[in-house]
Amino acid sequence: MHLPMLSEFNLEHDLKHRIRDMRFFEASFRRNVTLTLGQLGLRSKTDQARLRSSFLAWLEDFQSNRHFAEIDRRDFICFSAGRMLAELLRHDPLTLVAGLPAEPSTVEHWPTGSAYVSYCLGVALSVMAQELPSTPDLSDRVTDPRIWHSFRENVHDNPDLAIPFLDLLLGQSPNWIEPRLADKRPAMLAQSARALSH
Amino acid sequence: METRRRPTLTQDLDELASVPLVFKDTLRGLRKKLSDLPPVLRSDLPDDAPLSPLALAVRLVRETRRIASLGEDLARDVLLHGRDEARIAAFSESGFHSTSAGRGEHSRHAFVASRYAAAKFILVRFGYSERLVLEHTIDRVWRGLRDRFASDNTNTPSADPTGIDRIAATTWALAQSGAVAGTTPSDDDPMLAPLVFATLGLAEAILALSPHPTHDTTLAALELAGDVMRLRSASIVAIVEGFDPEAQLAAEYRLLAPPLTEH
Repeated sequence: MHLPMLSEFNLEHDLKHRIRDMRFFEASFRRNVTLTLGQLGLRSKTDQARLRSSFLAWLEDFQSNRHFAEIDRRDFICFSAGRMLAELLRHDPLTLVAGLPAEPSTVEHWPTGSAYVSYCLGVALSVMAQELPSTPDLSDRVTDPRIWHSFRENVHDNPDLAIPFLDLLLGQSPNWIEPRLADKRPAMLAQSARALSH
Repeated sequence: METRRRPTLTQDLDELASVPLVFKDTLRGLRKKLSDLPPVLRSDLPDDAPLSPLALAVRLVRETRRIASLGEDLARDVLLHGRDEARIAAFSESGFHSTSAGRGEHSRHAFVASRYAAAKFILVRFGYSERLVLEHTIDRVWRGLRDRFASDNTNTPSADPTGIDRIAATTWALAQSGAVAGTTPSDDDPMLAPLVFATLGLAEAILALSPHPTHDTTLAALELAGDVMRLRSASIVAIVEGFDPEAQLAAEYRLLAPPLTEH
């Protein structure tokens, strides 16, 4: 999957803090849209109020869950990126206005969804590159049309299912039952159990 | 036997100093009432029109409106800062969060004038350009907060360097004051004033984190705070109707101000 912002994010100093700046979030999101959809010959409109609503909802959730970063940093980065993706899908700020693909294939069958996913994957991988000793390779599932079809159907009913979907792509263990709860994530539970046993 | 205490001299002077504001607010209210009159009373009749009751009423309305408008213009030019730009520019430094702001008459006028101008600015953006903002009520809030913070040592700069707690206290006092007024019962929207002053508070919090606020950055902060607060209106309703609104407003500002501040 093409992640056009990855190289720019990698050059950004202290991305984990920059991404909490609403102006940076808006500007980088719009640039990602231009680079992903523009490359496919698609034109889109971004609803600023919806984009800001998704940021504010994500920010509130991030602040209330940030202490989980102390338990498992890698898992918290994946969880936060998943929460961002869930809010983008919930508020859905993108609308295609021209150039709809005639023969959709793989990712292109859902252009706005792929723009949201590529943005959040770019953020997650860059923050991990800056914060952790190693970064995961993206799963092969990212190009599997069946995964995308299932993802689109599921998040239509419950946008929070974007969190385990992103976990799959990033190689984290997903929690499909209670995706919004950071303390119920397999990695967090395992770390907590390990800490208790010592 | 209970004796009635005479007001102290400080209170008398405070009341006297607010008289021009009461005068201005009265003129604004009068002008609004006149603009709401039925069209037949607002139409201009020639001076030689017959002295019917209607003609007299029309002339009375016309003259009163002219005087009210002139009076307010005069009051604005003479009594306080002349231009909206000067009022807005004073916004960030005239709040109670600012340790540099004194508590004297200059600070008082800057607080009242800048909050008036900022509230009008936000009301226009929210689509309520006709709504009155009462300066003498903002002045009363300033006096109350001055007295409260004079004996309040809990909010020292080291405990709360950006003054968020005081900004929240100011927001809540203004929201409850009645400073944003409707002229008819149908104007009565109980959430409008909290939303307007929560917006001013968020802008003040953003500016408190900004290096050197200017007139332009103050306007930008007000615009951004207005956009964000409209998106957060459900949270503001919950805060207003919830427990300890001051503490919750402070939490809201601590959540929102840093991501909205331009460094």
